[in-house]
Amino acid sequence: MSVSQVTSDNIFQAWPFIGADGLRTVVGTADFREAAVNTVVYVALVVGVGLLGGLASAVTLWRGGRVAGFTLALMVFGWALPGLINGTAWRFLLDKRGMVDSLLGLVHVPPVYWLVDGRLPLISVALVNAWVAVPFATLVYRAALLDVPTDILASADVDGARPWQTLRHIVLPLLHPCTLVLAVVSLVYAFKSFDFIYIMTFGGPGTASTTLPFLSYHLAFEIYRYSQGAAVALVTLLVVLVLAIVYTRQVRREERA
Amino acid sequence: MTRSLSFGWISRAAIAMLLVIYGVPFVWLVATSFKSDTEIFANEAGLIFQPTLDTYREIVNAGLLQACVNSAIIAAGTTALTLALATPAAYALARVRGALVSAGLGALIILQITPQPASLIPLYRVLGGWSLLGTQLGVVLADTALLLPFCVLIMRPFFLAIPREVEEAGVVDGASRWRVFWQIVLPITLNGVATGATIIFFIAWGEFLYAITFLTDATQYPISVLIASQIGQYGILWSRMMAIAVVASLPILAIYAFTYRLLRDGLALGSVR
Repeated sequence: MSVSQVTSDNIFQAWPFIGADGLRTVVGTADFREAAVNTVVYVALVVGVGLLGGLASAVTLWRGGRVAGFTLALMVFGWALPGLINGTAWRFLLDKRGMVDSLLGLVHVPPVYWLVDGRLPLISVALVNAWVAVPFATLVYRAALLDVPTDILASADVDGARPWQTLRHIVLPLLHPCTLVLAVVSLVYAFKSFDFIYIMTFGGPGTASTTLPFLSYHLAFEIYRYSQGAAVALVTLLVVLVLAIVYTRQVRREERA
Repeated sequence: MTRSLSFGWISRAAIAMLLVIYGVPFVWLVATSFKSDTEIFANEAGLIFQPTLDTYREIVNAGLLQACVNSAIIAAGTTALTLALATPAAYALARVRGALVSAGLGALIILQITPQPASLIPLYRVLGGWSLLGTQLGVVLADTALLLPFCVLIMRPFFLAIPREVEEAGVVDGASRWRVFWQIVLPITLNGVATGATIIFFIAWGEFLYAITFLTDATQYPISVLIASQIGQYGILWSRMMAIAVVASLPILAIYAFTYRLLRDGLALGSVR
């Protein structure tokens, strides 16, 4: 479809072929560039916060016990809820007079207005998306931590290593392969994320939080330029694919080395 | 016996922070659903108020139960169909080797990467061609197409984990391939199948883009569309939204209570290998 001329008049008929021109036109637009930049910011935040938060949570909850178990279950429930529900809830909580700004007001922080103007809405939505990504990363890191041989930890303890040193020099290197795979999974997940933006900002204000998947939706279903929407989707797909392949190769090379 | 690292008060502070970050939003969500609109208007974030069931009465009268039934039909249909297709596919992709299988796995990963809006237009055309636009069956088929790759990728590691000897023993005893699959392999991988089923059900329950695009009759709308269709409007009635969100979360909570352990242990396996 991205290489054809499709409008609402001929969507159910044969599509005239226009070749790669459609792709070139779309990629050249300012809207596309803005969405591409937004996507990079969004993905970086979701992956970065998701992985770091997941690692920190997994190490924190590692010891187990009732409170830790309950906390993990609560976090994973947040992950299990559909993006639709989480997005709606967070839109309410981040509202102009919502919970987050009210709580900040209690400690005399002026209201932030998370979803109102500039770049902030994009960042807010990315952070909410990261709120969901963290529990998932926690589960994956948790599985890896439970695989860490206990005698290694015990001998580090006997040798007088402080917990931070053990974490830094023994545990983190063991988690390296897990981090690589998790990074690819999170990257792909963040790249194609659509629900949260649709629900929390609808790409706005203006186009300030429009990422590539949302741009594709906007082009096709709001202004009915189906071909352009499909072209954006195709380009997005190619970028993720290339990233995934490059990354997987890198991982394999490191594993062999 | 050292089985983990201890960071003393820092650990405790971090757990407290996680409890706040993940617990407080739910408390607020539920609390708001019991508030009246006047009270929300007066103080949107307040937690001291006279709880009322008015909002729940209102949404039940506005056809919420029908929406729940629709959601259940779509989510259960999607889960059943996806499992029926994904289980044998995951088994085959775990057992057979060769270039074709690698290509198949690659294709699944590409499908898995595709953003959902990208498939809207092609699906619209396909469903239109089959006269399934405006039907819940159409949405079930679209959701299945969306989730099938994901489900296969999640379940495959569970099949990979079965030692071949187990199956060979069955074959030696004269069982057919089909019987080995049904009577030996499936019972062992029940956890994997249940993990896949739970996640598919959750996602299908919350899916709104296909439903809002392909369905035309409001009486067929699932609960997700009730939420999604109100979100774009000005002056959102928050008590209503939160009440619908709470009702929509209840089935998920109920299933989650039973499958949490499976998800906790199965998710890491399914996603990383």
